[in-house]
Amino acid sequence: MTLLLRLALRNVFRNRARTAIALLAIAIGCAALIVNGGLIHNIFEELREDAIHGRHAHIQIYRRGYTDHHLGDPGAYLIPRAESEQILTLVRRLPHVERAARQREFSGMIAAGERHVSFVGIGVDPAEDAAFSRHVLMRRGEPLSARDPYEIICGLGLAEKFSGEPGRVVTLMTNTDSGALNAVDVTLRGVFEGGMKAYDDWTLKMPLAALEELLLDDRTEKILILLDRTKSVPEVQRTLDGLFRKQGLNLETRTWRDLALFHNQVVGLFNRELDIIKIIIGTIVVLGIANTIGMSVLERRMELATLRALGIRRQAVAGLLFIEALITGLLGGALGVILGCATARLVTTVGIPFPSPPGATRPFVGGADIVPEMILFAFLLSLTATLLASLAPIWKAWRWRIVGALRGA
Amino acid sequence: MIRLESLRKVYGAGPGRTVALEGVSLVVPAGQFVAVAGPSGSGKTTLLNMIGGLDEPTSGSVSIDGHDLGDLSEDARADLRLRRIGFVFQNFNLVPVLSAEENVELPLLFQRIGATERRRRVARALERVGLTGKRQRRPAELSGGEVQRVAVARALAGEPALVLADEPTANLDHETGRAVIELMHDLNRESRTTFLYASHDPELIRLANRVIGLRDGRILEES
Repeated sequence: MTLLLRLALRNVFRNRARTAIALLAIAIGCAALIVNGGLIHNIFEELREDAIHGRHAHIQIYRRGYTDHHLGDPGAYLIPRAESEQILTLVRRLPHVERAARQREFSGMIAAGERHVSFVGIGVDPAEDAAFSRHVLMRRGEPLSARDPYEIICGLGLAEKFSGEPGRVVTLMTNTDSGALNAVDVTLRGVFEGGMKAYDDWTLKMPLAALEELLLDDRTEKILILLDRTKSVPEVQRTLDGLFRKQGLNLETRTWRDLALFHNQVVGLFNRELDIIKIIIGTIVVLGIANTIGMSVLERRMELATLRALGIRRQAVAGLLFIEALITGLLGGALGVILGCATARLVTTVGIPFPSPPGATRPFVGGADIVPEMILFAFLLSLTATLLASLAPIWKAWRWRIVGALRGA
Repeated sequence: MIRLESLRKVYGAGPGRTVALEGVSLVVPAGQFVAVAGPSGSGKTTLLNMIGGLDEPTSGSVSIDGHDLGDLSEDARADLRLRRIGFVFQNFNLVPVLSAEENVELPLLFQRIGATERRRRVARALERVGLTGKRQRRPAELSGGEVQRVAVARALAGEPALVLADEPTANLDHETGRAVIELMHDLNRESRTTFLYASHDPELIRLANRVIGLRDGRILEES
C-alpha cells in the first residue's frame, strides 16, 4: 500500500467517533434508498404479476391493425378458427412458451329476473383459464370447468349488481357480428376478484364454445401467451414477429407492458417519487458529511499547510483530501449496502401490510426486494454525495495561504 | 546561494499596517551555517518565509541559486521547495498519524524517488539524527527533542541545498535545543548544506558561523 493511501486511511480514522458518525450518516442514507427502492420494486412486482397473471398474460397476438383500428370495425380484425389453431400450434412449440390460448371479448347484457345489467365478457378456454388467472381469486363458487360450456364466472362488483350467487341461472344477451340479437341461458359458477375495481365491476368470463354459439361465430380475437418467465418477453416477441413474417401471417403482437396501462401509470408515479427521495437523501448526505469533512480539514490546517510548505503542490494536498473522502464514501456506501440488504430482508420476513392501491380492490402484504440495480445506484449515490460534500472544504484548503495556515490563522 | 535585494514586506494597510521587513539586502553563499537573531517581532520568521518562498515580498527580490522567486509560479515555487529547500518548524509540524520514518519519507514520495532509494535515504537521514531505533514510532511516542530530530531528518532526506529552521529550539529545553543546533551544525559540515536558523537564544546563536541581527525588520548587524 502506498504511503499516500496509508496516510489517507489513517487520517480517515484519526477521529474515530467523528468518522463513525459520518459513516453512519452515509450508510443510513444508502440503506434508506435500498429499502425504499426494494419496497417500490416489490409493489411493482405485485402489480406486474397482477397484470400478467390476472388479465393480460405475457404476450397477446392479434390480426395486424387490431390495436389501432378494431374499435371501428371489430369484425375485420378477427382470426378464423383454422388460422388460430395454426398459430397455437406454432406458438406452443417455441422455447419459453408455457401456455397459449384463444380469447374473445364481447359485450352485452345479463338478464337476471327483473334486473338487466351491462357487462364486458371474455370468452376463454376453460381448461386454460385457471393457469392464465393465477392472480384472480375465486371469492365464491368454482372456476370455469371444461365439462359444462354453459357456465360463467363474474367479478365481485358485477355479481353484486344482479345479486349473483353461484348456481343462479341468468340469460346473457348480445349482438352477433351481423347485428342480430342472440341470447343464451347460463349458470353462474363462481364470483372472482381480479384486483382492479373497474375490472371486477364489469367483467364476466364464459367458455369459448358457448360464446361461439352465442355469437354464431368461431373466429378468435386474440391469442394469449404465458411464458416461463417475464424476462423472456422481448426475446419471444422478436421470435414471434420474425416467425409471422416468415410464414406470411398477417399478425401483430403486444406485450403485457403495452397493455397494462394501470401498471405503467403506477410505475411512472412511484418512479417519480423515488427520484425525489433520491434527491432528498443525496442532499441530506451531502449536508451531513460536508460539516464533518470541513471540521476534519480545519483541524488539520497547520498540518496541511506544512505539507505545502515542504513543497507538496496544492493539487496533491487536495488529492489527499479527495482520497480521504473517497475512502469515507466507499466505506459508508459498503456499510449502507450491508445495512440496507439486512433491513430489506427483515422487512420481507416480517411483511408490511399495504392498503389496496388506487383503483385496486385488495390490500397486500409487501416486502422489500433486494434489487441489484438499486444497490449499485444507492452505493454510487452515497459515494458521489460524499465526494460532493468534500468539494467545499477542499476548495477552502486550496485557497489557504501557507503562512497564515501555518500560524493557525 | 541566497540573494536578497531591498526586500520589503508590509502587512495590512492604513493605520494598522505593519512593516515586517524594510530594505533587507543579503547574500548567503552555499554551505554557510547562519543564525538569524533578533527579538520577537523583529522579522526573523518573515525573512525565512520570504527565502523559502512561502510568502511574497511587497517589494524587492529573493533568489535561490539564481532563481528569482518572484518569477516563479506557485507550482514552480512548490517544486523548488520540494527539491532544494528543507524546513524545520518551531512546532515540529510532523504528521501525527505517520511514524518517524513515514514522516521522513513523505516529501520523497512527491519527489518521485523510487522505493529503494527512498528507503535508503530515510534510513540514512534517521541514522544521521540518531533515531534508527525509533523509526517506527509516531510523534506522540517520541520526546520533544526526538520529534525535532525527526523534523531535521525530514528536511535533510531530500538532500536540499538549503535548510530553513524557524526557531527550531523554541519548544525544547535548553539542553535539547543546543543538541539540535549542534546536530544541524554537524550536518552542515558533513554535507555542505546551507543552514539558516532563527533564534533569540544568545547561546545558540553563538554556535553559528555567521549571525544576522534583525530589529524592526532591518538588518542591524552582521558578525
